[in-house]
Amino acid sequence: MPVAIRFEHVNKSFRISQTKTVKEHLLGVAGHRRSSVVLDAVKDLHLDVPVGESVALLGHNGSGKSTTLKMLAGTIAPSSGRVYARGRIAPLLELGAGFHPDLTGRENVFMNSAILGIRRDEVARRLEEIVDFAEVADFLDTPVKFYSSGMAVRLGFAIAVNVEPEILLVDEVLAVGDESFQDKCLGRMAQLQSDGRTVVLVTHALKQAEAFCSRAVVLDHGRTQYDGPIEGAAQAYHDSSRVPAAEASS
Amino acid sequence: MRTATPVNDPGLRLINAPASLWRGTVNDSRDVWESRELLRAFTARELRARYKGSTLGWAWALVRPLVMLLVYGLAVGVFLGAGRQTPQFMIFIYCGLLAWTLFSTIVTGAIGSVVANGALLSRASFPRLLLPLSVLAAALVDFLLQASVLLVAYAVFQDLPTLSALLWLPPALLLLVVFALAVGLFFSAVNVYVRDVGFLVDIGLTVGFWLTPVLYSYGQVVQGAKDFGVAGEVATGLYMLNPMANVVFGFHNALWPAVETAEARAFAFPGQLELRLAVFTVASLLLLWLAARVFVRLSANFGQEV
Repeated sequence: MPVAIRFEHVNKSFRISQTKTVKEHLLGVAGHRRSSVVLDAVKDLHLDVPVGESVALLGHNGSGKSTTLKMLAGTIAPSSGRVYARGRIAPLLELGAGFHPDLTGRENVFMNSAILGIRRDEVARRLEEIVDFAEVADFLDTPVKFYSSGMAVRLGFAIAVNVEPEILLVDEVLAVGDESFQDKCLGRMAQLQSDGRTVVLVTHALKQAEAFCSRAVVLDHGRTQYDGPIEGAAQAYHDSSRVPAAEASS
Repeated sequence: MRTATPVNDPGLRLINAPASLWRGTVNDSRDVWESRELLRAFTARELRARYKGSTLGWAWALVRPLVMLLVYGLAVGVFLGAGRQTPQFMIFIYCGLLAWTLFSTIVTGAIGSVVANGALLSRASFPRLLLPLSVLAAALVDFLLQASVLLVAYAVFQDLPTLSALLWLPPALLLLVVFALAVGLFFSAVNVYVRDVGFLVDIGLTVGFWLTPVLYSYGQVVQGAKDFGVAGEVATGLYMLNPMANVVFGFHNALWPAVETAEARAFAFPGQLELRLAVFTVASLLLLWLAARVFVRLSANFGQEV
C-alpha cells in the first residue's frame, strides 16, 4: 500500500511564555527571571501510515498527541522535520468552532468548505446531503449564533465528512453531540474506513481505539513509546508516565 | 516500515515544514495566489458580517468619515478659521480623511483579524496571510464607497479635478496600501505574542493622524517651523519622512480641484512629490517583504497561541 501520511524526523518545541505583556517582560529582564520555558512536545517522530489504515494516537495529557495531530492538520508548524500527506485532509477538530456567528448556516457551509479547499460548485452539489446529515434543514438561513452547540457540531462534522476526504483526523470529537448523533457519526466514519480512507484518531478512550483502529502509536513526553498492533497498546499506554511534561522541564 | 529516504512519490505532498524567516517568499506567494478563491470568500465574509444586523448596514461605512468631516470642519474650519483661508476647505480635509481612514482601517483591521479568528486558526490550515489580506480588500471596498462622496462635493462646488491631476491617485494609493499592509502585518503577528502591541498601535495611530497633513497644510508646517530656526528645518525634514504625509499630499494633488488655483499654492506641497512617492514606495515594498516574512514565521504557532 502507498503511504498516506509520513512524518519525517519531526520535532516540535514550544516556548511557553509566562509573560504576555511588555511590563512583565521588562520586569522579567530586570529581575533576571526567565520569562519562558521550552517544552519539547514532540521528539523525533517518525511515522508512516499506509493508505486505508486506521491509527490511534494514544498517550496521557501532555504526551504530544494533540500537537502531532495539529501538525498533520497544518495548524502549527514543526520546529524541524517534514510532514507529508496524500490527498485531502479533513480535520474533525473543534468542530463548528470556525463558524462565523453572524453568518447563516448556509453561508458558513460555503465558508467552511472553502477553508477545506473545496470548490464552490462542489459544495453547492453536496449542500443537501450535508444539511440532511446535520439535521439543520429548517435553520439553514438562520445565523449560526442561534444554533445550539449540538447543531453547530453536527454541521461541522457533516461538512468535514461529506467532502470526500482521503484522510480523516479525529480528536476526541465523538465526546460531543447526543447519543444518536454519535452513533451516526461512528457509522459514517466506519463507512469511510471501509471505503479505504485513512483515519487518525486521538483519544484517551482505549475502548474506542480498540473498536476502531488496527494500529496504535503510544506517545510519552513526546517520544514514541510504542508503535504496533492495537492489541499491545494497552500495556504500553498504562506503562507510560503520567507526569505532565511541562512540570518536568521547568 | 521506517524509512529515512527522502520522498520521491508524486502523490505525497509536503504539507508542513518549519517556517523560515528568510526562505519561502516564492512558495508563500504561490500559496496565497492558489488560495485566491478563499481570499474572496474571506473578503465577502468580512464585508457581509460587518454590517449584518445593523439597520443602516452599508451606510455605516460612510457615517464615520462624514461625522469626522463635520466635526473637524466645524472645529478647524470655523472655530479656528482655517476654512476662510483654504479654498474648498471641506474637500481639502475630506481628501486627507479618506487616506487616513483607509490606512487606520487596514492596520487595526489586520491586527483584529488574527485575534478574532483564533478558533479558525487552531483548526484549519490555510495561508495565514489571507486574513490580513481580506481585511485590506474589504477596506478598499469601503474606500471606494467613501470616495464616491467626493462626487457630491464636486457637484456642490461646481468643480472637478482634471484628468492629469487624477494621475496622482494611483501612486499615492499604492504607497498607502503597501505601507499600511507592512505595518498591519508586522503588528498583527507580534500582537499574538505580546498583547500590548494593540494598545500601542492605537496610540501610534492617534499620533500619526496629527502628524499627517489632514487638517492643516504643508505651508502651515513650514510657517510654524520658522520660529525654531535650524531645529525647525530639521523637524520639517523629519516630518516629511512620514510616508502618510506624502500620501496625503498626493491625495490633495489628485482629488482637491482647488489645488490648480493660484490661491491654493500656499497649501499644496511644493517639492518633488513624484520622486518622493517613488522612493517611499520602494522603501515600503522592502518593509512589506520583511513584515510578510516576520508574519509567516510567527504565524507558525498561531494555532497554539491565539
